[in-house]
Amino acid sequence: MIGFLLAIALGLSAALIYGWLIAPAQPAATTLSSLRADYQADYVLMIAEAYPQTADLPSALEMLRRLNSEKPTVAVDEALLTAQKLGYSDADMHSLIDLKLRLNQYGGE
Amino acid sequence: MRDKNPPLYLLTGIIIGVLAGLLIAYVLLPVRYADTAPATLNTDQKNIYQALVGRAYLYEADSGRAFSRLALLQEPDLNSALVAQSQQMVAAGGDVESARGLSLLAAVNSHPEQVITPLVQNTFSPEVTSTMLATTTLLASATATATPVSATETPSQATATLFATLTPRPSATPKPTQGAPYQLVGQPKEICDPAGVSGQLRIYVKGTNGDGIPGVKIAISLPNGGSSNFYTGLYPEINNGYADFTMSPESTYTIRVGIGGDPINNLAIPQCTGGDGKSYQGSLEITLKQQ
Repeated sequence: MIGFLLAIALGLSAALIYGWLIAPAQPAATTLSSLRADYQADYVLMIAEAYPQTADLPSALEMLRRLNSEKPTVAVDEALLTAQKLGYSDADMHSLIDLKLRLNQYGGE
Repeated sequence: MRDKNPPLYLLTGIIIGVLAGLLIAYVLLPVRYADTAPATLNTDQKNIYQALVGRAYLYEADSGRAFSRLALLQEPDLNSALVAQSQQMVAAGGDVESARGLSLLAAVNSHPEQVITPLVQNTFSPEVTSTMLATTTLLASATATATPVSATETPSQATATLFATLTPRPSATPKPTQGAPYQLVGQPKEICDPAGVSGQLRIYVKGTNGDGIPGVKIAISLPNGGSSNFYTGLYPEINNGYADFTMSPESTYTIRVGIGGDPINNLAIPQCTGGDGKSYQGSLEITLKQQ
């Protein structure tokens, strides 16, 4: 019986090493929320550029929820920090800050 | 005579273990990826990303930036992908502006000499605009040079190439004079709070009326000889004109607030003395006001 259990453990270990380390499942279906921070910052910048009107804010929030479903405005905060770290241009920083301020005024959660 | 073949139950155990391991590794608990690139997005999310690129292009009219973003998706046939998604969005009654942007990008991809007139550039909040325009020439040029084009004045979706209005890019116009520089109000204030955050340089930038001004660039010298920029407005819960920077011990800093302001030198972490006579690091607070 012990030998049987050891054999299962051996097979299990080998398969896990193979499946997790040697040949892990390919990232064929990732989501926007798993993007690297700099890509996420650029995504937020695109939202700031593409939804410049106050009337656009519900749509902008919907797009931001794809990064952070519970607190979409946090995605803007994180983008601002990343943008500052990466040295975004003044115009881009202003776009992001404007989006944040408009969302604050709008009361987006 | 002993049997040299391993017992069958061992082989059975290994097979069961391998199958269970593969089930766990690929189905139940597959490797979760973080920090991925747009090329790995699933189809739906790629479409969302691509549509956003198209919509942003409509407002920015920066084809170089748009194609750089699209290149991250690594589509083998970009033009077909753009046209197909645009048509699908129109057919499905989706976001018309995104569809137009994608059509335009397809047209520009085929005919790179085409340029478009951007839609209304970012319209900053009125109270922000008034102060930002005074302090940031970049922003001023962006709003001053953009030729607003109403979405309703654009040709219909029937032919993709019609969207590309072959108008030249807006020519540079004289930039408005920048606002008055910011002046230090009083002396830097040492904040000694043993329970508070230490080593912070806290900056409040105010307009002539005393309200905090967001979006003001603050250039700061770094101990290693370089410099860095940070901006007010990231903490509206504190003040719209607030910004902070974490200083390193035993380093002195120089900052310049806005454009044309005088440098403020010799900023360093203050040493505070507690009730028990022990010293600890405090924070520094400075206030600047537009003259």
